[in-house]
Amino acid sequence: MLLKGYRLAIQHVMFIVLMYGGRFGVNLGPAVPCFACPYVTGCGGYCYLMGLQGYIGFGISLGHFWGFEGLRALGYLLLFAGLVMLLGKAWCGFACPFGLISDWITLARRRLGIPEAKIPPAALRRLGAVKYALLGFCAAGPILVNLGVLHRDFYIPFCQMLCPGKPLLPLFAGETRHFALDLTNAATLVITASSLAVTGACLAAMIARPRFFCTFCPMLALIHLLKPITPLALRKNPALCHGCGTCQRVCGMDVERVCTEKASADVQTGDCVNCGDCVAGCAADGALSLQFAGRTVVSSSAGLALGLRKPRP
Amino acid sequence: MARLHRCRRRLCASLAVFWLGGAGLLCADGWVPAEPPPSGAAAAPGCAAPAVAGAPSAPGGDEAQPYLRWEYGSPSRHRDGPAVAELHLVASDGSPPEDASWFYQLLPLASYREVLRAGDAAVMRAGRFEGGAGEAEGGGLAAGGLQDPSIFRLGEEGRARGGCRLVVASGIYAMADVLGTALVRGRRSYAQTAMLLFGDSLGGEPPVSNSVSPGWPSYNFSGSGELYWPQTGHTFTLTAREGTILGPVRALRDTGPVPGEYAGAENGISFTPAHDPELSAESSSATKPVYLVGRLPGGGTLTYTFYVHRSRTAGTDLPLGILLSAAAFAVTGLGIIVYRSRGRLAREREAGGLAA
Ligand code: SF4
Ligand code: SF4
Ligand code: SF4
Repeated sequence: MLLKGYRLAIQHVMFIVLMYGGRFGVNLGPAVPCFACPYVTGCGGYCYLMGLQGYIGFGISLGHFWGFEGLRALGYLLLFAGLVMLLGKAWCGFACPFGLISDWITLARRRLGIPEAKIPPAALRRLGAVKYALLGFCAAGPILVNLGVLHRDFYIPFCQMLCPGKPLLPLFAGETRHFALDLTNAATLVITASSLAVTGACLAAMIARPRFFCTFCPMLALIHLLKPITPLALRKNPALCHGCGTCQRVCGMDVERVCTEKASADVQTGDCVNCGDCVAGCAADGALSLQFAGRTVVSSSAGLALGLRKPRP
Repeated sequence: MARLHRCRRRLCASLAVFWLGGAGLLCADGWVPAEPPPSGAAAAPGCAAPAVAGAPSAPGGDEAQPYLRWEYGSPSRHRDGPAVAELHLVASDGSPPEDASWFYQLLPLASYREVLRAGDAAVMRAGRFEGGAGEAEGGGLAAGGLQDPSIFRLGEEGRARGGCRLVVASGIYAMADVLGTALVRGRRSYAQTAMLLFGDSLGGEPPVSNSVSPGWPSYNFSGSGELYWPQTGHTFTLTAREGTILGPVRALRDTGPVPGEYAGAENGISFTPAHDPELSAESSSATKPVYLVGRLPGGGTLTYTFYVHRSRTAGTDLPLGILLSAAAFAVTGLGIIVYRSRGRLAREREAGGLAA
C-alpha cells in the first residue's frame, strides 16, 4: 500500500511537470523516454518518439545526415539513452502521463466493479510483438516520406496516426483541436481518421484492461532494447517464491513470467513497466525486488504486502 | 446535409483504404480528392483565372507594369547547423535588374520584441550586387563567425537565373528582414521580405550590431491568426513605414491577382488570401508566393514577398472527429462485451459438461 501510494504521488508530480512544466520554465529536454507530448501546449519536455521520427526525416530530407543533423540525432539518442539509464522502465511505471491516465481509468473501473478483460497469455505474447513493429514504423515512416512513397503530410506518422496520446493528452491543457477530422486532403483525412479511430478504440480497451496501450507502445520497445545498459531491473529469487501467483494477478501488464520463472533471476520482460505492483503485492520476503545496479531499492515482504488491495476479480 | 453525406462517403472510403493497408501508398503525392475540401474556399480549383473578391483595381489599371521582387530559392542547412536561405532579386517581367543593392538584418527570435524596440539586430549586412544582373554576388554569415563566407558565393545556377542572388544564413533562430533595390526598366524599385531561419550552430550568440539601415522605402508587415506560419485565410496587414509614401497596393502571384479579400488601410493594405485547393492538396509545408506591390511616387514599386501555406484549421471538423472517435469507442466496447460473454458462455458450457 505504502509503495503504491508513493508511486501514485510520484506519478501525479510527474504528470504536472511533464504536462504543464513549460508554463513555469521546466523543460526536461527533447528526448524524454515517455509520453511527454509536444502536442500539449506548455509541456515540460518532449517525447523521444517524436524526436526520433523528426530527426530521421529531417536529416534525410536535407541530405545532411552526416553533418549537423546526424550529430544532433546522435546527441539526442545519447541523451535518451542517458535518461533510460537513470530510470529505466520506471519512466513508464512512475512518470508517463499517459500511463497515469490509464491507471486512473483502471481505478475508476475497479470502483465501479467492472471486471477486467483477460487475454490468453499466448495471444498477449503475440500482441506484445506489435510494439516492435510500431517502433520499426517510427523509423521507416519518415524514410518512406523522403523517398516519396508517402505523402509529405505523413512526416511523423506514428504521432499523427497511431498515438492515442496526441488527441487525449492535449485535453488536459484544454485543447480539443486534435479531435478534429481534417478534410483538407486525402492524406490529412486518412491521418486524422486513423488517429481518432485508434484513440476511440484504445479508450474502450483501456477501460477493459489496465495499461492496454502499453502492450503496443513503441517507447516501451525502445526502452526494452536498451535493457543491457539499464541498471534498474526487476529481479526474482525463485528459491523464495511460494508460487501463489499474486504477482501476476496484481500486474497490470499481466506479465506471466514474474510468476512462472523458476530458475532465472531476470524477470524483466518486454512488457514489464517497472511499476513495482508485483513487488508490493508479493508476501514472500525477498522473492521479488526492484534493483538498481545490483543494489536492492525495494523488495517484497509480508509487511509491504499487508493492506495491499485485493487481487483483481 | 449534402456535405455530411460527402464527408461520410470520404470517411468510409478512407477508413477502408487505411485499414486495408494501402493508406500511405494511395496518398503519395498527386492523389487528391476529386472535390475541393470544404474549407470555405472562395476560389475555383486551380485558381488560374480567379475571381477576386473586392480587389482594388490595379494602380493605373496596369497589371503588366514590371516590379522588383524577392523570390525564394530552396532553403537548406549548412553541415554545421546554420539555416541557409537563398533569395533572388528579380524583375517580374524577366528584365535584368540594374544597379542592385541589398541589406538585411537578423533579428533573434528569442528577443524579437526587445530587439525591435531597441532598434538593433544580431547581424546587419549591406552590399551591392556587382556587375548587374547575371554576375551578382551574395553575402552570408552565421553565429559565432564559424562560417566561411566563401561557401555562399554565387554559383552557376544563380548566374543562370539571370537575377541577383543573396544567401542569408543564421546560426540562431532568427527573423531575417531583407531589403533590395534595383532599377527596373530605368525606374528605382524596392523589394522586401522577411523569413524565419531556424538555425543551429555550435557557436555562441552572435554579437549584437546596430548599424544604420539604409532608409529605403519599406513596409511594416503583420499577420492575424495563430503565430505558426502565414496561411490562407489569415489577414495580413501591410503599412508603409515612416517616410514611405505609397499609392494603392495589390496582391499578385506572378502578374495575376491573388484571390482573396482586400481592405484598404492607411498607406497600405489588409489582405486575406483565399484558400487554394491546389495548395491544400500539397503538404502542409508547401507554399505559394504572394507579392504585395505598391506604387511609389517616382513610378517605381515597393514589393513585399511572403509565402503562404495552406490553412491548418479551415479543413478541420471537430464534431465529425468526435463522432468518429465515439463510433470507434462504441464498436470496440461492443466487441469486448461480445468477446467476454462468449468466453463466459464457453466456460459455463465447459463447467456444465464437466458436471454432467
Ligand atoms: S503524439 Fe504520442 S508519440 Fe508523438 S510526441 Fe505525443 S506522446 Fe509522443
Ligand atoms: S509504455 Fe505506457 S507508460 Fe510507457 S511510454 Fe508507453 S504509454 Fe507511457
Ligand atoms: S511484472 Fe511487476 S513491475 Fe512489471 S509490470 Fe508487472 S507488476 Fe509492474
